[in-house]
Order: sequence, then structure tokens, then C-alpha cells
Amino acid sequence: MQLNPSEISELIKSKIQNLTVGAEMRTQGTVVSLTDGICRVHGLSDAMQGEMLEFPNNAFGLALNLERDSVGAVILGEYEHITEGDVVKCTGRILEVPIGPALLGRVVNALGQPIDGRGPIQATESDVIEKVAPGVIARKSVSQPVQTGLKAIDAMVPIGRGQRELIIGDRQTGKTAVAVDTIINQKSSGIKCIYVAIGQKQSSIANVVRKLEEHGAMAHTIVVAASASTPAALQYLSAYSGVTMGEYFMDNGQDALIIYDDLSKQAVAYRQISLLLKRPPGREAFPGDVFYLHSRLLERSARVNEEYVEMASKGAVKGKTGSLTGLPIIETQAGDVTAFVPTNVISITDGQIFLETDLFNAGIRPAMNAGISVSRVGGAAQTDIIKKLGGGIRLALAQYRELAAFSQFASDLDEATRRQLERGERVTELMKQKQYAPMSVAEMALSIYAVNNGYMDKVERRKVVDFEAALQRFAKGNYKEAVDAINAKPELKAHEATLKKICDDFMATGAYT
Amino acid sequence: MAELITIARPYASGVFAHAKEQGQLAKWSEMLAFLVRVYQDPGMQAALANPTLTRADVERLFLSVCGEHIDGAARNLVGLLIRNDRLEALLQVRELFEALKAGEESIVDARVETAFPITDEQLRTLTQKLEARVQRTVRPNVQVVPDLIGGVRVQIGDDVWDASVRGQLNSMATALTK
Repeated sequence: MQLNPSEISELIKSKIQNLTVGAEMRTQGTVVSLTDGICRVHGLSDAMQGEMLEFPNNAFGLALNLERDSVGAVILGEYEHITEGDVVKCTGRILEVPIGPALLGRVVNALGQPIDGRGPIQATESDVIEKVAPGVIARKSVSQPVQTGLKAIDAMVPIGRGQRELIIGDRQTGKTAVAVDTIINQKSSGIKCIYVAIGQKQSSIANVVRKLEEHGAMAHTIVVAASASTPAALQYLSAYSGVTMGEYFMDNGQDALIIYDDLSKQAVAYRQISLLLKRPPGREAFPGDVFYLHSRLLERSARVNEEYVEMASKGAVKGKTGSLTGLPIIETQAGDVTAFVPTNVISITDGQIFLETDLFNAGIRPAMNAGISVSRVGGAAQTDIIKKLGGGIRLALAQYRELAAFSQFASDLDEATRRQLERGERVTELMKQKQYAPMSVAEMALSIYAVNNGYMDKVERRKVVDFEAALQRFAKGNYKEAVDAINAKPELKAHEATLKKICDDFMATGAYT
Repeated sequence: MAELITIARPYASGVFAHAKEQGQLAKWSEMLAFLVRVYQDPGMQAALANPTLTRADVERLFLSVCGEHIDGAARNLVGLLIRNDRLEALLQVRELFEALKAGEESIVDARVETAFPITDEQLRTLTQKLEARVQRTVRPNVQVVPDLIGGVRVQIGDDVWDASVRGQLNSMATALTK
């Protein structure tokens, strides 16, 4: 980027003019010890919990433990230059990050500073990272969908705007893939996305950013990156920085989506800080307030009503609701969902998507276990057409699972049972979907309609995926207007005849009979 | 781990309560200063570091060095500190005692740093201004710190009033680099 000299001298001039110089009055203390980024400061008698502390050389810390004669603080960033006896000052401020639309398309660290090498962010506003979630009066029930573009999820575990849906699974089960597909699918929905990468490899983060760029999804996305090499304090804080950036959109009557990838690592970073601060360890050596760590974070995902938006935007936005949908990710160890952090987050969220290694290895991707994945509030937000068609899918899969276990003992099966088994197999096959290929509501409706109404019963199981692709191509080529009409007004009653006609016409081509 | 000052606090407040009851604040202040001098003596430090000396030996040694300079109650304090293995908190006990004494007498110590030596007149004005602000009698301890370039910096307890050129330069640097 080219530097403009006049710009800089103007900037300095304005800064000098606005600088009020007078006697400053501050509370100060001295560094007593510094271990692994945790600093004990003697003095600072007026320090407040969560206050920013100023260290020499523009380093900042966060007061976390207030004790009788000293303060325990974490240092945000580099701490090698701080030594025993250094003077520490109170700032009277709480940690803030920049917010606003200027952040869209950027990759920032936990403090909101750009790390993508594209110059400074022209954000005019900033906000504190620790805030109390909107109260009951400010809220509205979830009633609009977030389309993930994944058939399996949108049909069986629908997500509503303002909902918190946990994505949980072992390593290498496609958790991030679900999240990235969801972001890519928000290109036209107007939902702003925030992807918070916590404790991941820099290379993984770079991959996600590159994929988002390739699919044109960075324009509506903010990436908050706290990689594995950043200090634990920043990994712990990055989730709160991200949610603050998301709240800006919610407060201004827009819809936003935040993905925490992943909260297990955030809890581990917090555990490290807590243990170094000598807070007593509890279960799995986590401190006593790990539940609060996640509950206060996820509670900030909400759908808020028109009055709240008007108040939060200071009257600038009227008559609009805002939402912040949360998709926390938890990585389990060997499928153990009864560990401390998974159980906590399962109980906080409004549903969960279980991804399983066995399914993933069997080629069922997304590897969602439909039996134990639920969405507790999303049903109210599902589009009419998918809601009505999706019921059949859930039922077919549930019956299939029951019969599949049972049928292993019986050699010959009656006609009805055999049909249910075959339907189940085809539905399972149909739920497979390639990565980075999100589907529109109409495409999903067509595929589900076809399997529900027996058009695929004659198709060989291995051919189901091909059949679906051909059907979609056929519809796109010959019934483009009808497909657009379904997307515009996704109601089953109005379009059932169209769906039937597309399927019948496709069958009539004879490609799969 | 608790800090020494936290450990010293109950001893200091105990001593202070006793001294106040007996009306001997000044005497105790002197005795504590004397005890600290004894404790900090290199010979005494070497003896304390000697592992062959038992606590009883240390107590005998310490009290014999102090001799008639301290009264019975102060001898008891020394005995208590040694038996509880808290002799190293003696410095903090004295500091806290002095702070409590100053609080009782409504006096605060102020560390006044100036770039150049100041006149008595200037110091008087400064002290009056500070006294009006903290509502106490201010006992200034003036030090010349050329690094300040100009102006004055006052520290009372944890609070610092910075009206020095150095402080203003620092805040300007922060404002410009932010």
C-alpha cells in the first residue's frame, strides 16, 4: 500500500491538536513477579476486575485476580521486555475492540488489529468486549431460518436466526467444513459472518480464509484469528472480541452469524490462565467458572426486537429486528461427549449437530448422526416447504435405523419392511453432499420430494448421488423459472404440482428407468 | 503464596493496638526501627542463615543483642515472630506500623520528585495544595530526578500525580502511536 505523506502529517497534526496535556492522576504499582505471561503487581489499590493495565513500552494487561496486597494480571501479547520492578498503571478502561462494517473482509487478531497485511482498518467505533447479554424484555422468538445449504442439516436440524447450535464431533469429522459451507451459503442472504479461529494452526486458518476468498464469501465475513502460537490470554479473549463485532450488526437491525472454532481450545487456554493465576482446579483441572465462561459468551447470541434495535442504534434503525446466530464447535476426544466441556456446552446451546467418525469413514458426509442431532427451536424458523418435506426424511431414517438393526437377524423380510429398508438406504445416500456446494431451498426441496415420493425407489443405491445430480441439472436447464419461484416463495402448497411435474418429466427422459 | 506484607499485617495491627492503648506510639516506632536495624545487620543475617542454630538459640541471640533497648512487650513480639518463623516479615511489620501511625496522626508521606531543586517556598505551596486535596497533613520527601526534564511528580500511596515534562511526552507518544 502506498503511503501518503500529507495524510500522515495531517493525522499527526490533528492528534497533536486534540491532545490535552495536563497533570495526569493515576494509580500505580510495581511488578513483583512475571511467570508465563502472568504478572503479579504490588500496589494498584484502586484496580478494578477486568480493567486494562498499562505496562512499559505500550504493553497492556488485564487485571483478573484482585487480592489484598497485589493484583494478578495477564499480559496481552509480548511480555519478554517486562521485568520485575517495572511500573504498572491503571487505565480506568475495559478492553475494547473496533467494530463496524469496515471489518468485513478482514482478518484480525483478538484485539481487532489487522493481520492480513491490507493496511489499517478504518473503523470509527469500538466497544467493550465484556458485555451483559440482552435481557428477556429485549428478545424475540426465533422465527427466520439460517440456510446452511446442507440438505441434512436444513431438513433435519434446522437453525434459526438467533439460535445457538452446537457442532460437536471428534477430530477429522468435518466440523469446520459444516461451518465454512454455512458461511459460503450466506452470500445472498445478507447474514454477516464472523469466524473465530481459536487455538488452530496458522495453516488451517489460512486455508479457511483462502477457501472463503475462492467462493467469494470474504466480503461478508470477519475472521478473528487467535492461532495456537498466540498467548493463551488472547485465545481466551478472541471469542469475546468476535461476539462484540457480531453484536454490532445485531444492534443495528441486521442478522449475523458467529462461529467459534473451537470452544474446547478456548476452555483449555482459560484453564492455563486460571492455573497460572493459582485459582483452584476442579474437574479435569478446569477452574470453577468454566460453565460461566461459555454461558455468558453464548447468551450473547440472541434475536432482539424492534424496540431494542431502535434503542441500541440510538434511533438510527427503526422497525427492524436483529439477530446473532451462534455456531460453537466442540472437539470431543474419542467420541466422549460426557467430558466436562462438551456436557456444559450441550446444556447451554439450543441443540447440537453430532458428527461421527464412523459415518465420515463410511462416506456419509456431512457425517451427521441424525438420530441424536437435534434443534430445539429451529423448527419454528424452518421454511414451509422444507419443513413439510423434511418430516418424511426424519421418519424414513428413524424407521430405517430400527429395522436395519433388527433385519440382521431375519433372513427373509416382508414386503413393507423391505421397502422401508430400501427407502432408508436411499435417503441416507441422498443426504450426502459435497463440500463447498451449498444448495438452495428449491434444489433441496426437489431432491427430498423425489425420494419421498418414490422416484428413487427403482434407482440402484450406488446411483442415487448421480440420479440427484442429473435431476438438479435437468431442473436447472428446463425449469429455471419454476425453481426461482420456489426460492422466492418457499411454500409446499403453491409448488407441489411443479415439483411433481419436474420429477415426472425427468423420469420420462428415461435416463434412470 | 501469600506476600510478606499480608503475613505482617496482623502482627502490625496487633502491635499498633497495643501501643495505642499504652500511649507509646513514638516509643514503639523507635523500638521497631531498632529491631529492623538489628535484623538487617550482616552479622545477624549470617547467624540467621546458620542451620545449626535452633529457634531458641536465635531468640536468645536476638534478644541479647537488643539488650535494654527494647521493653518486655517488644521482647515478646520478637519471641513470637521467631517461634512462628516469621522474622523475615519484620520489615513489613514496621512499614505497616508506621503507616497505621501516620493514619492515626492524619499524616501521609508524599514522595515528591522534581527535575530541579525547589525552594522552601515552592515546597510549602505544593504541600498546601496536596493537603487540601488529600485532607491530611502531608509529609513531603523531596528528591531531584533530572530524568523528568521539568515539572513535578508526586506519589502518595499508590496514587501518582504526574505533572512532569517526561510524563507529558510519554502520554503524547502513546496518543500518537495508538
